[in-house]
Amino acid sequence: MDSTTQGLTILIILFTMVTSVIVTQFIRRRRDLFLLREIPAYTALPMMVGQTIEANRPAHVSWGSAGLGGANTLLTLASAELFYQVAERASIGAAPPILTVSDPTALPLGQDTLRRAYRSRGLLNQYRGSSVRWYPSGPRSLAFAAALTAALGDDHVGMNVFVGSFGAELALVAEAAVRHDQPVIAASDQLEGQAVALAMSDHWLIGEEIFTAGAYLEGTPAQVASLVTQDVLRFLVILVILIPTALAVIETIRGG
Amino acid sequence: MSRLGAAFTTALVIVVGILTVLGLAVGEGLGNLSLIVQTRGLPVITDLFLQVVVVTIATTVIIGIINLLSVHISRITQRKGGWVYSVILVVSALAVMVITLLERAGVLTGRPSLSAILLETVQISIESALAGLVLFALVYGAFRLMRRRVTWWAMLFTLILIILLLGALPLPAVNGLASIRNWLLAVPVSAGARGILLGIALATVVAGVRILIGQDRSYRE
Amino acid sequence: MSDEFDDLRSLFDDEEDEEGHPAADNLPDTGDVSDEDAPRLDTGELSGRLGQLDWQQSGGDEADAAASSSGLGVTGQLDWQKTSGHEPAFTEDVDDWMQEFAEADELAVPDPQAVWDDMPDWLAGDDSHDQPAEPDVPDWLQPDDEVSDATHPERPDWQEEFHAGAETPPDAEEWLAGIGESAPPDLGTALPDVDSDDFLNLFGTDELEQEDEISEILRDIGLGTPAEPPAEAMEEVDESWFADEEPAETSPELPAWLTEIEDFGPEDAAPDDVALPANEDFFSELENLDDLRAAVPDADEPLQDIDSLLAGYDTVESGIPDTSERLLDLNPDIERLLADDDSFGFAGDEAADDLPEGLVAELPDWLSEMGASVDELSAAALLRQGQKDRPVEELDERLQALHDAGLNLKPDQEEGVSDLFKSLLPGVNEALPPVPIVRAADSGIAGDLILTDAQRSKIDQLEKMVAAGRLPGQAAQGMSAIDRTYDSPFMQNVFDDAEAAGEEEPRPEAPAASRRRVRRIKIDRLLVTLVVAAAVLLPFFVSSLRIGDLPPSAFVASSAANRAFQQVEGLHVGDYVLFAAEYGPTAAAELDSLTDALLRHIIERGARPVIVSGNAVGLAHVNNLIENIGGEQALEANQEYYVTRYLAAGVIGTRAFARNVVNYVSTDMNGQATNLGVSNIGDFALIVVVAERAEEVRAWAEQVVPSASGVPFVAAVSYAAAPMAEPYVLSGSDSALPGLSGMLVGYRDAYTYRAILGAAGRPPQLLPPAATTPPTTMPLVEATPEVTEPAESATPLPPTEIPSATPLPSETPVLPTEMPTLVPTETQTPTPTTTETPLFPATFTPTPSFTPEAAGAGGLPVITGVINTSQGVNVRENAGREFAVVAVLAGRSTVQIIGRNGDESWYKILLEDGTEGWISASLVTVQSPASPTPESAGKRLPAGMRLQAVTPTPEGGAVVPEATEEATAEVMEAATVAAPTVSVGDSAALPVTMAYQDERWYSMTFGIIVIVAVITLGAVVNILRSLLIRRGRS
Repeated sequence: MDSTTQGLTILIILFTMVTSVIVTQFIRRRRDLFLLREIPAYTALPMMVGQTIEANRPAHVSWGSAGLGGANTLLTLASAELFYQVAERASIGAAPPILTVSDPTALPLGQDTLRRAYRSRGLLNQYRGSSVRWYPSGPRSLAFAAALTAALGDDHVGMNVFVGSFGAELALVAEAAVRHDQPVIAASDQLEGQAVALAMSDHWLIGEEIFTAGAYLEGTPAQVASLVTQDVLRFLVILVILIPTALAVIETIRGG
Repeated sequence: MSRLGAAFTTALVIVVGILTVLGLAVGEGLGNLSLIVQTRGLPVITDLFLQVVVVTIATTVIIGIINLLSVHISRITQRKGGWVYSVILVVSALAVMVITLLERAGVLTGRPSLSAILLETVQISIESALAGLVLFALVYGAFRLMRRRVTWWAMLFTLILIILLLGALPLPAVNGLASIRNWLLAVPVSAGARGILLGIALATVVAGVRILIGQDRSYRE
Repeated sequence: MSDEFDDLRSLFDDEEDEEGHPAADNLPDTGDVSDEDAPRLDTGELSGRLGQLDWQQSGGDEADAAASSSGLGVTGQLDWQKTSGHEPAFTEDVDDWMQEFAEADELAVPDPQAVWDDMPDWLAGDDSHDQPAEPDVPDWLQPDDEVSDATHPERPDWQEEFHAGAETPPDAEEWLAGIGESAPPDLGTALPDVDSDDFLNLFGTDELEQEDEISEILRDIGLGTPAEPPAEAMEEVDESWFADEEPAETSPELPAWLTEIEDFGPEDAAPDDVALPANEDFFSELENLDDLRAAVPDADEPLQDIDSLLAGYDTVESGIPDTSERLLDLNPDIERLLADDDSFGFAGDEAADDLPEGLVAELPDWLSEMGASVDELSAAALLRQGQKDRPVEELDERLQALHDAGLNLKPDQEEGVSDLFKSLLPGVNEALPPVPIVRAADSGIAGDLILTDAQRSKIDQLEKMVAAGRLPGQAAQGMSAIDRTYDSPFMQNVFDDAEAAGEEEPRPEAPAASRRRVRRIKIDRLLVTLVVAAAVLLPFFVSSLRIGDLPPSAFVASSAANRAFQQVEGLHVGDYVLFAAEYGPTAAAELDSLTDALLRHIIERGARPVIVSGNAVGLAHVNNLIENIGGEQALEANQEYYVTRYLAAGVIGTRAFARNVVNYVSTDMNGQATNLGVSNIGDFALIVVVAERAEEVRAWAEQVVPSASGVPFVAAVSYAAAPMAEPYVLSGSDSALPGLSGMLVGYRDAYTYRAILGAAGRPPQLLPPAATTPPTTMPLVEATPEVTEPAESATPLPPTEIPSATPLPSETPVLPTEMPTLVPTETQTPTPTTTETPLFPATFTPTPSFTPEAAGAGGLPVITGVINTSQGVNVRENAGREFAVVAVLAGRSTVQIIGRNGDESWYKILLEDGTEGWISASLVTVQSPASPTPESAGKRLPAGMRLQAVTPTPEGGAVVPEATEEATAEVMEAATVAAPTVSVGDSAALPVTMAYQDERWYSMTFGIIVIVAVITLGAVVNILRSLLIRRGRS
């Protein structure tokens, strides 16, 4: 990296740190000042989990090809947070929640998340590591999609949450869910998967909404603070884009 | 996990994270900071950390295979739904592993190798066929897009979809649509895609910083 | 307290104050309430006469508590009663009064005046007021034990309703109006502080819609209006003393407790200091009820005959069930409530018509909801159908099962049903005890909700009843209660009569899951699939459906695709090309064509691809791909191409590779050493990335390319990734920035690429190794591999002029143990896969090849040949592979042939330094000096094929034996496939064409057209459908 990029990188990281800490403290004192807009997927999710429990069916969450160590490491962690929220609610049901992953690095994370969910409910004795399943493999793996298609039917899943890294193969899985009359919440960091999620799911999340699961479903000050910090950074980026663009346009107009 | 262990884990994560960030982000040209980083050998440490990550991640494939086999073996023993397919899966997985080992040991020496034949004739063919199925799923999804509710956004979505598809046709009659298509791809689609990706990137940065400062400790119980 | 009674007594004195209110002396001396000898009311007798005024039955705190617990705001008694202690304050005197009053014959023909005269002063008030001429004693005051009995079936509803805590009793108004007509006009002056609230308490409600009307009526009672209609009588009522804000100061002699009573509502606790004096004087006044009777004016006709009036009420359906009384009595009759009993008036409509105006609206919501809905059957009605009072044995199976299951539940506590339950639900002896909720140690989001073992057992019980499997996919455990219900003949038709219900058709015992699993075939999905499949397949068979233009046979000059092609075209012999195959089996169908074309082009240019991938399966697939290419061209792995490493960990692995190339390319994917002489990314001549996602392109552009300054970067992407990879394509001016020098997209550019490669007349010459390339790539070669024209002075040689030679004995092969050093620094030393003679000994130094210009020095006819492979070839000391290698010639170099062996499998050549050696004949293309042809002389090898033999022409030219397996092994130790023979003159061959490549393109075109039509049709249909639905709703 050139020195400018290096400097900007460090600056952004430091700014994010400071903002996150300050906003967290502020929110702890004045939580009511920060109102979150409604995201229909998060509004519907607890109800879907409840219906799934009542129907004595397992809840299914899938991270796709999201895994640790790659560019979507933090996306994987965000998806893990969402899975935790689902699993914590669904753990009281008779059928344990199911997590499917395509990247083997996500397997230990998924098992750990599920164990935390059961522990929070005091039901650690009901935790089963086999609820987290790996199907091969890799980005945009159609073998993974085919395996999910079969699993939706075999396991009589009650609801589906496809949040992670999916490509166009999400279409196969979503169609299978529709065939089995299973509600779907979908989101992907890949544009092809995002487009499919928008067209074929009941509720969807777009872009950074995947990272807001904790703030909407649990709402601790730290999680809400991260939302606010994101917004601050977003406005900064907008300014950084707009100001030079405006200057360039002005200069162009002046020049000719 | 005890409190001491939790604190140690958190401290370890923070220290390693900060060292890695400094080693990656700080190069030459930042004056004293660069000097400090270079003299302390941080780039070497960073590379070491990254190598550890690479090795760890490569090893998780083994974990995945063990998980896959255990899940399906349990499905077989418990006679759950679709256990027959689990039998086929387990048998095929073991067969491919044995064949590959024999080839590496020099026992099987055909050319092309049996594993290559299996890869090409089974996996590549099946995944290519599944890729074709994706086409049907996507078309059907677009066909029934507005079955549940008709909104302006859905109509706009369908309209743009049709324009992009028609613009890709090598027909003289739709040459005019090709320019519209190119503009759509270059401006709105790219802009929207970049916006989404920017948002994800920002969220990634914030999430990473939260882990870096110890706010997010979901990795431990 | 006696003072208070005195106050009360004084209230009823005959003396009046200035306002005309009776003096306190008129109040009967009720005595001390705490006096145990105080006369008490015989509630039984009173009940018999007055028709069970409930508030009188219990009275005191008990009645109040019962009324309060009814939840209807019923107080059940007058305020002053609350303060009277545990028993009503009325004494036997009152009873006697009432008895006397009732037994009086005058009651049969009421003498209102007499009644009023007999009424105690505190009730009657001032005697000075005019008594009505025709006192009217309400019939209810007349004894009628039979009708007044609470258990009498003909007991009028209004009597129930008087005690109800619900809304205004329907006939209260009439009753009150009747009384008001005959009430003494100034009765209210005797009790100035009695207002509507007290009367409301009498009727058991604290709110009243017709409060104003009741107030007027009360005025009538107190004031004793003349025999006029209630409305007229009310007009004469002095409303002043009925007003809530009745000033206590108007009668300074009024006892404080009386004024305070006004302010108390049912919700207020009766203060201890407010107690009704209950002395004998007080109650003695009540004995003068004859006056009361006399004072009652003539009532309307219904009141004169209370019996007929009450009897008439029997047929009136009020519609208001006396549920509050039920609750007050702690003896609810739920069955009766739900029973189809007209006495409760669930007919709804009829009851509504008979109800006084405004009363229907006052029905409580829960009551109106339970009642009949218009033109519908309510839930209560459904429940009641066929569920009349039946014993448990006659209930439905599911209800029996529930009942049995409930009995089988073992409560944790031994206490069983609590007393409250028993009191509220008499007759119910079994109840499920409440399950304790255990708090968890850790507080989560809902940490209080923990299932105990008892809860778990109950859940198991419920699951068994509904036959739900515990584990997903587990078979249902028999028929659930729901299934039995579905199977029950009752459910065939809810409205069937009992005869149909008795029929039991034998049904097979099928699992519920399979019975309900009715797969509905989605016709539209099937049709869409068939249509799209047909659109994709038909162009392969039907030529008329092959519409549209094929891709161009050449790239546009300024396009990114052309720049990518030119980058590969500009490769030199021996260049290393970093080839990243970043796609998996999913995108193989689309990107294999591009990968194949690029690899062939690279190999054709004499460069050597070094293949890596972040996808393990993709790496194996590309390995198979290049092995197929190598099989055609007899390429040697780890010599002419390298399949090295799987880059784990995504972008981290890519970055790690860029920083440590040496380690990553030192071994191939099989673990074999590659001996690549590459030290960093900059040693590569070109970086090619074939990616199915734009993310891979971005990762390479950001992680690898910056480390490879000056190295061109070319990408081949899928159609879907092109829009997001396009921004990385550089224009010509900013080539200094890291980015794509060129980009190829999908099948379209693959088609054009292969067309270019297969075109005749392409630039044939191979570029020599670049000067900037490291010396490790190739030995130094001075002569160009290109031979355009033979020397004009060359004369054709006889075909068999090549002398033979005797092979020398073989020598012990020496395996190279380390990377040798070539001129000037390193030597390329491929690792042999066998223990046979190595191709390149460790200490060998390559020798410059022969230059054609020096050949003619000796005057002998010069026979030249060109090495027909890009790989370096061995020059051995004798004709045979078992002989030692004395030199290595660079590929495509020109040699001077000075001899041959007997079977012409080996040629003896003269090296530039004068050294002689033997080379395999199959590796040399002899250039015939007699008949050089533009096609044959120095012809660039067609891509993908290597000419192994030349068919000799009658005009001349050397006869070169065909390639033998042995000769092939000179260059490729592991090669076993003989290269096919192709004529040099066959320039029209396009070895790079794919099968059905045109049909594939037409199939894509026609398929897109049909897909657009399908999507458009679906959109139109759904929009029309939505419009029709909206129109239908509106």
